[in-house]
Amino acid sequence: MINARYLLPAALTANLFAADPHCPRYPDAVRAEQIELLELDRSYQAYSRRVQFGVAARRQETARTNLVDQHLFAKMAADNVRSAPASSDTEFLRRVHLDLTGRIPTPEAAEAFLADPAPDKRAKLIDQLLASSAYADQLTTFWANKFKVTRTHENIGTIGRNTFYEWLRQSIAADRPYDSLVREMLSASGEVDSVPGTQFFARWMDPAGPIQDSWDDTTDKITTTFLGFKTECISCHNGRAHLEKINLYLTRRTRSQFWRMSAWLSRMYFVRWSDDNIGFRPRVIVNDRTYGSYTGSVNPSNPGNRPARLGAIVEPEFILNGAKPRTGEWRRDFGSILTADRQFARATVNHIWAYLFSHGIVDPPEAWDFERTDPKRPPPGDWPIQNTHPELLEALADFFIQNNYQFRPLFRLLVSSDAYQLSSRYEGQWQPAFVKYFAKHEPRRLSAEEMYDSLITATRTEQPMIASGISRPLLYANQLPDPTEPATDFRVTDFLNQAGRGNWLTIDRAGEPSILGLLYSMNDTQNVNRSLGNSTLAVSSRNRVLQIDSSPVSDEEAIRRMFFSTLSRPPSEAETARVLAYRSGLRAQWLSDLQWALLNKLDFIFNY
Amino acid sequence: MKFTRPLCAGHTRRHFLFGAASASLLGAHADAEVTSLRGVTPHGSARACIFVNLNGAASQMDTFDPKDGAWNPRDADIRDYSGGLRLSNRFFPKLSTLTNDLLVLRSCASWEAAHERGQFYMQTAHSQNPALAAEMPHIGAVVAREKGASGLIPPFLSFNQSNLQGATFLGGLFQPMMPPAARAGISTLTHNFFGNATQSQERFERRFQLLKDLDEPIRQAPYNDAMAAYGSYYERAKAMMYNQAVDAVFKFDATDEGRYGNTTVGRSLLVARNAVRARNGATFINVTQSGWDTHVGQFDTAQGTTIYTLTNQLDRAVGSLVEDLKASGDFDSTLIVLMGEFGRTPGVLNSRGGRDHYRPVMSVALLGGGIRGGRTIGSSDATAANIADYGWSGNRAIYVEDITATIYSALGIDWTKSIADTPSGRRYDYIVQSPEYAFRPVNEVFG
Repeated sequence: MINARYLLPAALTANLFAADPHCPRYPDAVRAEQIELLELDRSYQAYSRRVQFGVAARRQETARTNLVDQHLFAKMAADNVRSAPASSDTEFLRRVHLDLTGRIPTPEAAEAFLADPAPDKRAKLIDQLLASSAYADQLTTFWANKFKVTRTHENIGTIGRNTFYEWLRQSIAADRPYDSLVREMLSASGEVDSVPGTQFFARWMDPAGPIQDSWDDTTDKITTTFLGFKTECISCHNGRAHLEKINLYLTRRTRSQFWRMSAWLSRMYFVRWSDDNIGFRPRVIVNDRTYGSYTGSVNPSNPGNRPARLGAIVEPEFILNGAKPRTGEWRRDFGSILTADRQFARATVNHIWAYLFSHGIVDPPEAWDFERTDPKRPPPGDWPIQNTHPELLEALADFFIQNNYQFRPLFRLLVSSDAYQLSSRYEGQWQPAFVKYFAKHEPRRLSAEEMYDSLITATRTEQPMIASGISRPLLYANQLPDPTEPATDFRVTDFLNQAGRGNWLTIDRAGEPSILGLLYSMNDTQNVNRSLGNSTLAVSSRNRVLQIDSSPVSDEEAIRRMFFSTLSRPPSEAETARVLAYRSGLRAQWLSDLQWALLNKLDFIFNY
Repeated sequence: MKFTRPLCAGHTRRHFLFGAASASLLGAHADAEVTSLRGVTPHGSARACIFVNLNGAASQMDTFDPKDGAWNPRDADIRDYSGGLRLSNRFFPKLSTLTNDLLVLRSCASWEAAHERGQFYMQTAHSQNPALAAEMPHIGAVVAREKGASGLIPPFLSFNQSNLQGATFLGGLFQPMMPPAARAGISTLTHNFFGNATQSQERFERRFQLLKDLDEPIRQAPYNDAMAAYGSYYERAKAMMYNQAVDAVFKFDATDEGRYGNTTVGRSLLVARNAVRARNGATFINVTQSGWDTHVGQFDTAQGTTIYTLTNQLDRAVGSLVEDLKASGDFDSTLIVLMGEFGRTPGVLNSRGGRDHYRPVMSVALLGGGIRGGRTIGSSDATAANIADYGWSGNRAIYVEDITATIYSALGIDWTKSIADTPSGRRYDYIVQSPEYAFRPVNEVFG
């Protein structure tokens, strides 16, 4: 029951909002990205309707065992959408290695896989990769990129960062149930240096603003990461008259409802001081009072970034189902209610789906619109249903819950599907509507870390790295605890920064090409040294070019091996012929040229 | 970006995030609609800006707004100059000889007292709103976008700034290029791994041709737009290679390096000088000098970084830059800005012999670019604790928005513009359009 006392009159909200110089009103042109994704959903729906009522003959669908395929292929058959062909072994091999371990296979692993005649070799490979420590590294990197606990943030030092990272990695390596991990994180209290999970709150705390800003920022982060919807808009103003073109659900949510969500955190406070003895290191304690609630009163001389709040007292209420606190430990209750909500499982499987399939079933995965997720309650006007495969998503959520919120079974299910294993090349006329049928595999550029890890695997130039306070030997970028590392090794940090890894604070991860980035990848000494056939260079004394050149094999075989080690596939006849024609001088020389060219090739830079 | 063009081979979500580069090398929003609010007339006296970021927040009292008091070291030697300027001859010996060119704004104030937020504000002229921080471009990217990528040098260069806000949604060529500042220049402009330069270039050309040939099928039929976009950048990058004029901008000799002080800030300003003089595309150059967070022992010469070292390094580098730009005739068209993210505590030093963060008063120094030097604007009280006289038509403190508007105006940029088509869909105002503050250029600087 909403207490009207807490509701700001709309006029007052508008007034406050207009006076805020930092948050201009949404213009008529709305999120370009979201519009395009909407367009995809819309074209999918229109295509499906047209076919359903049209004359097109439905295809008979073969029986499929994987639940992903049962849903997706049934839909494609019903709408007469032809899928891309199944991926070849080489295509699948490279893709699944990159997605599950963050790097390309070694040529030995690739050769062994391709030579294996066993019909279940893909399943065996999947099991083997899921059991590897590289999988734990990759999935830890995936989640760490969402939590963004970095020591660049002024509340977090090296020790706190490592406490968080090691806890996260161990949890993921052990496949600890995700709901339990999130519950521990959301109720964590104590010193940021020593208690895992507290870092999440320290990371989203705003040291300069009022405490309400910290609660509100963290609440938005929680709904975004764990429930799949951003709430930052309604942290400043009601959704009405702002979000009509963005999110129907949020237009019906108010700022006071956001406050009630934020109130779950309102007994939490921070103690922050600088430890003068060790160079102004930040020390932070996250703790909770046993009393108190959310209040809008702020110090007028430091009002923060948001329009003024009402000075009323606000008690917690879960925005999705109205649940209220059961005990005085509000954060603990919050964690229990949140992880028990079905949306937690839905949003999580959708995050993983979007990672593997490049589009979420609900897309974007951090902007769910709950007014458009249930086909039985279709949205008004020409709004498309956002959830293009609701039954599949529910089945995946069921699967995740039945498998105890563990990621390995979920990944196994998804990458074992025929849908995941479709080729990225489509035969026939591709249409935007097919995107949401997932009718072919969608390529993505390698992340900065994947690019580095694949580069050193291809060229055989792995070098130990050091991340402060971590004693394990580190070779791969997806083993690094945050984007400040390896702080003392500029060869690696330069590469990763050039490739757009961002800093988890002010600089977003980026994947677009840049001139300096390409100059770097083509001409940087460290980079090029990896592909030189010169044994006097430390970085290349055992590198791939020398390894292949020193093998007693024909030039054709040397070329084949070079393609294999870098692109995880044999060369085409035309490619072999081109390289054979290119040969001049010593073999190490032209092999080095070939290695350089392959490392800059688009099918090395992309996961396809 | 509406769905009007046919898609070649499907596309990814990343296409929407990054792939607009496929349409044009000029960045995602080069052709986005820009609207101007009031149709103002910018001053347009400068063609380039060198922005010296005094990272850590320089103390107004120990730089451009010195006050008499027991807090000054004995050797401070504070002298008065015409136009109300005061400088310590010990800290700024070189600038003391250039006071006719120096303009100090003493009635500035900051919105922030935390470094990260203050730096963000200074770099973007916008507050670090959590909803928008990731898409807020650096002012250098805005300048780049306005002045265009007209030469072989990327328009926006930056030195020594690790937490630099990039071009964000402006994208493409307006991304800051962050080259090294070293005598050897940019190593990636050549591919000199094989004998002499000519042999190496020949070998590179062959390699590049091999790459192109092998990549030809996939560039002809990329699997999606993101792949197509990536493939389109190779030739543009190659155009910068093996080009004497481009190469020379990033190189300098030992004599100049010594003249500029053999310091990080000196070397960076040397490259900035070269870039401005080359007139080959660079329009905004950020040079960061770190170490200004002087909480402890700021005059304690036993420490590595003190007010002495900071001011002397800055003085020598900026002084030499001014001399060189004057000699080459580029001074009047190059605006030089010196500022930090906020001020520092006024009056006596703190118990640790330093100064802490302070918002109400800070100083900004300007040189060149058509401003009128030999003056001060505004003033602070006897301990630099409060603004005593605003000294400009705004009749309030000068904020970073006003400084930025001044920079834009000097560069001939309409500071009232805004861009509607942003990733978040929220209008991006070059300068926040606030009815309360009415941010605008400090036109008195040109006077």
